[in-house]
Amino acid sequence: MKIQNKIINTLKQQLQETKDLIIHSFEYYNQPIHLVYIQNLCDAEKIKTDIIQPLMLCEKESKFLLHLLSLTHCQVIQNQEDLTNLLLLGNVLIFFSNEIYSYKVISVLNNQPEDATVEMVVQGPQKAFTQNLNTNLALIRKRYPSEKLKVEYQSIGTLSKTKIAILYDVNYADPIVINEVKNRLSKIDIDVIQSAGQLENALNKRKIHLFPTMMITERPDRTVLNLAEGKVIILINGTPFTLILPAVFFDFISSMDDLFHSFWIKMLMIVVRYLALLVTLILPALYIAITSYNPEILRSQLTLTIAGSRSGVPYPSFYEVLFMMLAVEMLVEASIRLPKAIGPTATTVGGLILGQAAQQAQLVSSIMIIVTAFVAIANFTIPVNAMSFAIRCIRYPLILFACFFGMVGLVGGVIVLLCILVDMRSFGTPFLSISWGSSDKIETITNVPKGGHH
Amino acid sequence: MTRHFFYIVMLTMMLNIILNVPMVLVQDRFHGSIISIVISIIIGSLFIFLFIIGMSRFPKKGLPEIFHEKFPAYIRNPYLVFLGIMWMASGTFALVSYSYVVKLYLNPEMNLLLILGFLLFIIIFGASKKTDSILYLTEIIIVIAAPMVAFILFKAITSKFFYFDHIKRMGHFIWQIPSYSSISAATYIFIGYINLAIVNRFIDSRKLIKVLWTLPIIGIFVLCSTFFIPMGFLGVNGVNDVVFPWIFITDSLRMEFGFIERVLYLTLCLYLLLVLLFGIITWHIGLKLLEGVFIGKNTSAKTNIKREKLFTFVFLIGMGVLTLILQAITNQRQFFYIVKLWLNIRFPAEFMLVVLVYLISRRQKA
Repeated sequence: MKIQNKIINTLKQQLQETKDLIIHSFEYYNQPIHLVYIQNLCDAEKIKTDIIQPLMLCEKESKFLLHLLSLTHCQVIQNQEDLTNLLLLGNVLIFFSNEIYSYKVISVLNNQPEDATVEMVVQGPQKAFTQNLNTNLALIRKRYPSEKLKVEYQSIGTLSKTKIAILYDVNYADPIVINEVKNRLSKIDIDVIQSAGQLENALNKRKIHLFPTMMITERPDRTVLNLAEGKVIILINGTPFTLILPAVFFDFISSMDDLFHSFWIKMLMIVVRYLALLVTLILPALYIAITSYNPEILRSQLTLTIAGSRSGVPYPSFYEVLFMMLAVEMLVEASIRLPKAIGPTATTVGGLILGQAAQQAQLVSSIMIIVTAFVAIANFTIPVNAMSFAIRCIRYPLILFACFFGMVGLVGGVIVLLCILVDMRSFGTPFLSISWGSSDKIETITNVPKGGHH
Repeated sequence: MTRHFFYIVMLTMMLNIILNVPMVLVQDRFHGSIISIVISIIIGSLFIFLFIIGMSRFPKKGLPEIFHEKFPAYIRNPYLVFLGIMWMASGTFALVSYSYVVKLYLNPEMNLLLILGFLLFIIIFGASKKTDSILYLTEIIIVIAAPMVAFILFKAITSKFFYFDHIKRMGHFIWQIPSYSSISAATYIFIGYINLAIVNRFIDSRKLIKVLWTLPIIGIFVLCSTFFIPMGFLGVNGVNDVVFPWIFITDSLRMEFGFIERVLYLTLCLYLLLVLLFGIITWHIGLKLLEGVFIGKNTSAKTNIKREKLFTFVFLIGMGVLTLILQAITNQRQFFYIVKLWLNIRFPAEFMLVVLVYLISRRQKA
């Protein structure tokens, strides 16, 4: 009995005498029983129903022991060193008849799936993942009842000890990719990890990179579809976002909607998206190249219209473009952070008033206003946010190239961009390469069946 | 990956519709250009066939590895250097020719060296990438460019300034003994297959043999359009008066309802894309051939990667500086004279390489 008290005292000391450490002591079967747990981490109701009430009902000590051991998350502690760890992970420690039992009673928070807010679809599953890893796993298991689905747990972060789960279909996933993932996970040296994006950065080989090589999604349907295509999924506790890898460029331009629409509608959507990608990438640079270097490229009526609208603008097109691009970037950034109540004001002031006034004051041409709006709208059509942000960034080097070399700079810039993209690898998979509808391709939204291959 | 081989061959064909080749063919138009086109298709197809058969006996191996097995260092190394430099020169010449075009049409106020420097920067950046990455890049650009090239050809043939009578007049000059330089220039359009020397590491060249028959057909089409279409526009005599006949004639084509009215600018941007891609490929292949000489295989992997990177950049930048010097010390006329000279040396060099690869492959039991 003394040993138990001693252990409890050291536990107290190890946890810095924290006030939310509850030590619940009482006597039953003529011997002391101690329950030790951390207050808010544990579900008091569960302690009551699973431990206290059965205790009252069991007349014999052995019967209660049997009950304890029959609980799914209950175990006898052999190694007394990681007692604090168990406490911190939401276990209650039961000191009882010279043994210590631990029983998991963590109170589950945030386990209700909510509507998808980041990646929305029109007709399709509406719910996103939750913040709880186990619930997320259950969501995936329900959608993907395959005996080949393998789950492995790890914890990442020296301080946060965030629990992550690695999921893959043994039949389809590439063992090289799995090994590479585990290898990189073991090398991660980080204190606190709380989001999928953070883990993505830590997993990335290059510390400075722009384009995402892993997909971050909150949609269970996308996750399951990717699982069926042989990708590896990483679930992270505490965030509704999962990591999917490897991911290729085309993944980021595809939406789950593509599967739910009929063929021609789907084709239209895809064409619109790629056009938008092109517009948002090159239109600002093209505007500079055409107005400042080669106005003769366009047909003469159009050239005259542009020149006419630019006639009052007192500086080269470069400033005009930078000025407007900056305004849009600020508007987007502001409207992300603003509380919902003030949001519309920002867009009104920024979009309508500033745009209108700037054009009337002849600080920018009216064509430039159209270009700006077009570029901003086109940028929003890219379905996955990470890529949409990357495209926003890569616009500026193109603008710079067009400034210095006109059309030649623009074409050269596009080639440089393509070089960067084709040279990227996502866990061994080429990031940008055309694969003409083969069934082996690692591409998300595809109708080519995979079951039965291999 | 088999298709990537075709993309590279297509690239050189499309590129040479406008650069260098028509220049030589047009000059020799009264001295057997037509016969030399016919001969070159036969020779070119034969070369491709022999070279692919040869390389297919060495699956997943590039030329440096093959030579490493077969020849002692004092023969192998100078020959690889020679091939590498020859191959890079083809990219360099395309680039320098095009920098003249850019100066003439797109950036007339810009310094020629600055234009070339910018183009070189892009090529050095691209050529330092991995070989398979460059194959993916080729595919993407060819998929974008090929329809546009077809569109430009279509526009040219259906133009009202295109007189078929001029081409008929060339019928008088068929039966002439072809000059050596015109054959040499005409075979140049097939040159893309030489890239297999390195690309063979990634391509299963055995699969290529079945579909090889398409290349002579495309070759006939390309050579005829590169030679005859400018003639249909400018006349049998007038065609000699312009430096870049193809760019000259696309300036007479209009897209009446397009945003871009003059086909010329479509052509210029399109061919800028192709020239840069061609430069990237040739410089990369040249780099890899030379890497086979200078980088030993027995050093440890990590230092090897570092040395390789250093070598890549030092070498590519060195070549870039040489290209700039070449342009600075020559004028356009001298430059085209060098190109013609180079085209003439290239033909026997190509012949030698093909025969060599074929012969050593005969002794290799596949």
